[in-house]
Amino acid sequence: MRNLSDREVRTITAIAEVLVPQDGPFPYGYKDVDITGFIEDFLSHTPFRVKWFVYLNLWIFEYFSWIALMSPGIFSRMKFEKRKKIILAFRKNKYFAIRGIYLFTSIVLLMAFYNDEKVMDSIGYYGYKDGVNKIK
Amino acid sequence: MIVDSSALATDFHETADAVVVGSGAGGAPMAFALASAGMKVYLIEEGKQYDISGFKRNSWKVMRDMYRDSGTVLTLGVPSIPLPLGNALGGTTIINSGTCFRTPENVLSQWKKQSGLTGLEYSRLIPHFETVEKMLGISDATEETVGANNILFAEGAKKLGLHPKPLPRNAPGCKGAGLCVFGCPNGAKQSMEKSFIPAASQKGAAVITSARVEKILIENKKAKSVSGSFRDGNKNKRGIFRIDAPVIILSCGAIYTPYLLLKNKLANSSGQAGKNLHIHPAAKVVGLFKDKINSWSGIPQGYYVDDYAHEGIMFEGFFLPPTFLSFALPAFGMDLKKYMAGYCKMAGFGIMVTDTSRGKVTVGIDNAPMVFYSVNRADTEKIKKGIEIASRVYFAAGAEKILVPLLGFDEITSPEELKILHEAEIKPSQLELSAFHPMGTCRMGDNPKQSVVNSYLETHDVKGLYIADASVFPSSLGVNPQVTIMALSLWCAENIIKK
Repeated sequence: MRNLSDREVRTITAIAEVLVPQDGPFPYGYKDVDITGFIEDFLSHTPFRVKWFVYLNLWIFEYFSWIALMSPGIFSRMKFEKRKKIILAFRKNKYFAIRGIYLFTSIVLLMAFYNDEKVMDSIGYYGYKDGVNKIK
Repeated sequence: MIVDSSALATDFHETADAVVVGSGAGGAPMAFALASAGMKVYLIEEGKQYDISGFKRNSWKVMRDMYRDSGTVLTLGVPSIPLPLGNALGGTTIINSGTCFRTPENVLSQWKKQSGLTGLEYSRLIPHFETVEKMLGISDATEETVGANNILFAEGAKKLGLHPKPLPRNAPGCKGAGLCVFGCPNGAKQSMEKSFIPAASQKGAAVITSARVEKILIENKKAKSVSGSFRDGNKNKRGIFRIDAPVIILSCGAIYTPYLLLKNKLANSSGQAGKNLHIHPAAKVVGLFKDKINSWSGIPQGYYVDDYAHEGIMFEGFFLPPTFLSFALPAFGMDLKKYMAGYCKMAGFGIMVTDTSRGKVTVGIDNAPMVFYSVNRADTEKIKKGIEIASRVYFAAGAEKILVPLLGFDEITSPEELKILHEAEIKPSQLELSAFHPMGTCRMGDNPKQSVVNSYLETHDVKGLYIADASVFPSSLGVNPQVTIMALSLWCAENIIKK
């Protein structure tokens, strides 16, 4: 069963690009991992209230996150730097409810990315790979 | 006999001498003790039985299946705190770190002073501690298995004159897979489904999984029966059950036990059910080192430092696979990727405080429990002090940088910067915490106006209805609670059997 709409997928991709950019010290980014697929799986295993919270968070990000900078716009259509500033403003917001939105969204997206086998390998985590710890 | 409800009729009605609801640290020893005394016992568990012998390293799959709400339980308050709970045969013991402390004697004395607790003496608990320790094979973590993460912190702690010690654990034959909180892949950790539950089953207890208790029926102020629904693989209802018994023991933990009482409007003449929630708020401090440590290998929670336990601050090792460490770090984007690129050079230790903050559990939307908890100023000060000490330890151990869970102090690059933190006034809203030990929501005491159960863990209001889990603690325990829960459960069982 499909849990995410096209609009929600666009929002997720726009957030993921900021949270796990393509460049950087190891060769994988948001484009290399099926983040949307992970979230679909996550949603299919969570109770209604958690799903509802995910949908609400994505909706807030898409249509109302501009309030953090007081510069109107649709999140998924904003330039990268503006999206980054918004996410930073959410993370450091003095209102815990707004930080909660960041916290919850980032938990799901970061789990999706760092749970990927090739990402784990690339940062040197071989814990229990093939059933044993392989320290390299 | 351990049976999944899918193997039972869709309309199941039985009678028994006792029904135990919940198969975690409270329920499993209870079922074992009652069955050993020859009683006909049903042990009912909402979660499933999992076989993790084929487990590789996809810790997300474990979290998705074995954690309640896939690990997304959060407290509502300032700050909001993740509160992972188990939802499987064995309860939270299957996903805990395996740390095993007896109840501190001073804490029990304080509980007696505060709540009376007639008959409950430390000396009366000792035989139960011994039973638990024998059954779980509790012994200290060894240097061979604790891994570099714990050794490093211990070296730094010693340089500061502190006294690190190996933690007592229930994992004989531990191979240091480093994945205790995702179910031990080697089967070394003696969580309930490996210890008390098979033993209870051998003594004749009937264990039913995928069965959720929803109603508790009473008659003339006496326990009569429990009823609920069987769940299929997708947690949808597939049948109903009812078990009549004069003795009902709730062991669903400090969130779901008060929730059941509140939902059934039971045993709450004191108004205390669901109140007085404590959670041992915990902060993670991460040290970044020049060389590889590979902290992911070895027991994550292997050593502890209790030099500040008298102030309510405990230090215990922690480390996590990247899937979960990534969102515990105070960064995102390129900064986070830079930190994660140095994953193998990180070390982690946790600070756990004996909290004076109090939260509550209520029945919320979606007919599910809601957990409210805000950290007070006094606990914030303790957490801040703990972070400072852990940071000093890491600098003494040679760390180049420290990542701390305090908004505004994400990265500390020198011991001098710690002075700024020391001078700063930290607000609860700046804390980025987690918590693992909910307790206190059906506290025990002699006074029925101020407590839910008496010192024998029987509810003041309903004869034959008992509570055996961390919800009976009158205050925050200060150490990992599983052994205390098990010993109190055996104490409760002893008194049920005597009756």
